[in-house]
Amino acid sequence: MPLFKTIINRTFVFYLACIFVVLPFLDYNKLYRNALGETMSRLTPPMNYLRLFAFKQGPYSPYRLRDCIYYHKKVIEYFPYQKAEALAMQAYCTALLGKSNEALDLYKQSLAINGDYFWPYYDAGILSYQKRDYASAVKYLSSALEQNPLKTLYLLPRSKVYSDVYLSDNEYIVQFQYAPSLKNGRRNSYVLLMDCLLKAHDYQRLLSVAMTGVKEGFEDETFYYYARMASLGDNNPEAMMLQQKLGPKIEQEIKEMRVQFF
Amino acid sequence: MTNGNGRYEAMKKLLRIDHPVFWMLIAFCCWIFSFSEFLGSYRTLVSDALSYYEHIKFFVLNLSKGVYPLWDPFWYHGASNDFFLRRIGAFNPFYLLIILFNSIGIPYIYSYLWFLALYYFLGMTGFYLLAMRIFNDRLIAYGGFLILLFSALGTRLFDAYMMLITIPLIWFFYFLVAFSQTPRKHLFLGLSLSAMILLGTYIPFYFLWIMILFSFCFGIFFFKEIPGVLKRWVGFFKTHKILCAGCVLVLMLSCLPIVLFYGHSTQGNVVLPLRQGKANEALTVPLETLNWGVVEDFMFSGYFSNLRQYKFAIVYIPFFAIVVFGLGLLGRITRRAAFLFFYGFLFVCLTIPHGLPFYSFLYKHVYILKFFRNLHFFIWFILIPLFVVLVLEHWHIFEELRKDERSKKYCLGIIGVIHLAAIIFITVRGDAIFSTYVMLLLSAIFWVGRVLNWFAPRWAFALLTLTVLIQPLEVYHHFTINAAPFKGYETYFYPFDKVRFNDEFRLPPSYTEPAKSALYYASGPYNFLNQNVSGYILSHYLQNKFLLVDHVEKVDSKAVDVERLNQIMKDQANVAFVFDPKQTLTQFKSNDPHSPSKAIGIGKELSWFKIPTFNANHLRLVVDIPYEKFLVYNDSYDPLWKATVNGSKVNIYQTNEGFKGIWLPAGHSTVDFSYGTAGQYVLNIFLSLAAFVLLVSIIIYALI
Repeated sequence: MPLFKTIINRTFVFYLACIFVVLPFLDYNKLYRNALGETMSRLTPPMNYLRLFAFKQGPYSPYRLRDCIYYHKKVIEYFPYQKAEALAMQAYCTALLGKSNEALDLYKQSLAINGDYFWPYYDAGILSYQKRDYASAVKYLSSALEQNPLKTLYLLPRSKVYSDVYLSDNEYIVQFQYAPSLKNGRRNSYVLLMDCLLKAHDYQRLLSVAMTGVKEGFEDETFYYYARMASLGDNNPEAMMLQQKLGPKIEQEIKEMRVQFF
Repeated sequence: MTNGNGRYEAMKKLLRIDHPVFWMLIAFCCWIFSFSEFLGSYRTLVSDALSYYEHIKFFVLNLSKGVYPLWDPFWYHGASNDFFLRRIGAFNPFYLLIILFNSIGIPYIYSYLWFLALYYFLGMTGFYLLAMRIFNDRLIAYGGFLILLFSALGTRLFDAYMMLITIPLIWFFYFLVAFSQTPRKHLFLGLSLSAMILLGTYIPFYFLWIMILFSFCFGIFFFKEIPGVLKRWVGFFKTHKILCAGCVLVLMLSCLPIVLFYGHSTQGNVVLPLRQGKANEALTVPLETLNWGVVEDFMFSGYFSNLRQYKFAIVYIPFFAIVVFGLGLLGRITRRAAFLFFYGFLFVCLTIPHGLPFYSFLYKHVYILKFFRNLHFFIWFILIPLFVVLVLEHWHIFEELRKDERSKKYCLGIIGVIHLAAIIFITVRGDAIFSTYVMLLLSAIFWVGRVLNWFAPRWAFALLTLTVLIQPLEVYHHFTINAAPFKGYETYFYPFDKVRFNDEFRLPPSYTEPAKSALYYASGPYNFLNQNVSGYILSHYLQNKFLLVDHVEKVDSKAVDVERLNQIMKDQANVAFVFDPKQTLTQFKSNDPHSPSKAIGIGKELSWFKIPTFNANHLRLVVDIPYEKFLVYNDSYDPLWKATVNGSKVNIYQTNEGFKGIWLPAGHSTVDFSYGTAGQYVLNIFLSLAAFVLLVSIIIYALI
């Protein structure tokens, strides 16, 4: 009896008793569902990731990249409404860590949920190209170019995961001013796609892509180079001369292209 | 002279190394160091903190120029400023600090940030005094001060406005406890001042709900003490009748502005569409919007508990507090611990909108619950300070245990178990930061030292400071690098004494019709325009702050031809729609024989159209026109506006649904528009002065 009295007098016993009284009334699933709701307004990633990624300040630190992956895993776990964007962010960090296969898988998962966003296609295209899987690169880059740019622009401020990236640069800037980065991404996609098609000797399609690019306003020598290469075909001395002249410059340009989420 | 010397000696004692005041100053310096990037304005204010910064700026800068701003001409083309005055708690006398800093040449941004820091320190000092009253132990009270100072409350200075309520609330509870123990004049005055600040906010219902639950729980656990407390109170009231009557009067008057604002909003003069949703009553919030309660906030914080990723709105308390809480769990329950836990637990249970049935039941039956929606704010208003008091009670329980010589081994065992459990817990979670382990080591040394009486007071203070601070210093380092850098952007960057003509609309070249969104707060008439007139048309129409028209058309306010309104705004037609419910309008056409097809738009000062005086509440125009004209002033209509032309009062008509209009005679005229009634100014100024007098009286009486 004294032992019972000693135990019953402890603080934790009173606390537990209070909790047990309320437990029968608790609908945990409802509470949990609400906490995962679409109403979540504070899901933005920490600014140090954003500065690192969006504004390219400083070298990529593996330590911070792993933190970012951990964060977005949590987002995926608890906030399914933001899964596509969180998967894409996770894929992006994974790619920067050099794990291309894993990153590609994550991009595929992200695209299966939301196929309207330009950058995952673009990134998957770059990763496939780097792996010399030109067929997949053609598939992803073609899909990237098929996307309506406005859908990508509108997703940025609307998405909880991306909104701070979008806002943090300059809160009062209008969204149309972000088009240059997208425009640059589209140009890169054309260049990579044309290079893949050249490597696959698919000259008819290469010519068509080059012409579409020019029509879109990318009237620079790279596009004319690929268009000319397409029209000259295989084993043409002029094509070889052209490749000798402009090839290394374009190769360097392609080498400098990297995965982006914004 | 003796008294002066005595005070000097007392001051010297306060700053001795074995006195908590010395260590409180050291801790506050460390806090400043942790948040130096915010206080130095290298990191930006975000979210609500930004809008509060701006509204306080608008208020104090106007006040410093002798204008009590009851109207905000810059908020959606003019709206009553009463709402924002209530939001910031305009009677708070500590805002004078900002004016003081600003007047000695410190830029507003620093004046404001330093005010925030000092105000926060003031709140923490109040918490220390409260803890001293409850526990009568300097080390425990100082521990509470440290834990609360370095809790996440401090981060919310920079992204929310919670501190404007939490700090007066802490002081309110201090004065309440102190006055109940020893009824004295300065304590009663303090109680009145803190209650006045809390009741003067736009949602005093948070405070009322806290007090209702507090009274209920106090009644359950301390029922026997209530007669004694009441006896002491009544004794004080009997001996200080005039003082008490004066304070009660001020308290009652401080509720009046919010009542008047409520009346103004029920007439539709101001609206809060985003907040109100589909609720029928003005200022109420529908149950559907209450989707984020206390527990959801805790869960959110739990999901993102990796402290390297620490950012705004995540609940954080130095882990040392959890250790202390653990130490007391195995102690003997006290009535105070039961009360504190029950109060907090009841609070949590009654503020869960989903998952527990209590809140929806109370929402239906308790009227005040219909007026506030952000239930998770209670974490920052009351639950964190309450938890810290509970932690201190656990500390107290453990202290009682360790004082017993027979329990020393038992105490050492508890210390070992709790610290081991903490190490296992954080290791298993896998996201601990290094300083957590260091803190646990220091904590073990501290508690073993306490049990074995190793430390003199000065060393106990020093070790406690180090133990509590080591983790938050690292956390706030991560917090700082996770926060957005300051960009210099603010809405209220322009001078308040100039009319803004058309600089607020910089339409991008590819401007398209924006989606209609509910405004947070606006005048009722402007809200109607926002909902019914094309955004593109409205933006272009508002390029001209003033219009002169020749034709006036009387319309029924209940049957507005929206299509035609869109058309005349688009064409800038030479006609104005006017509501005239009192049937006072007799003139419908000017005498201009060359009446143009379009209205004359005025987007800047002209030789015949001057604005010699402008401030938040008043506009003076000097106009020289050859023919009479109807002036449309594109600033929101509100029935509290008055106008005179050459000193004679004229009627202001609600024009083009949202704005003001008056007839101007031909020739040279001086037109004055002014907002508000004399009663409003007298009430607001009286209450601000009363709050200042109360503050000065508290200081004087406390020193006597």
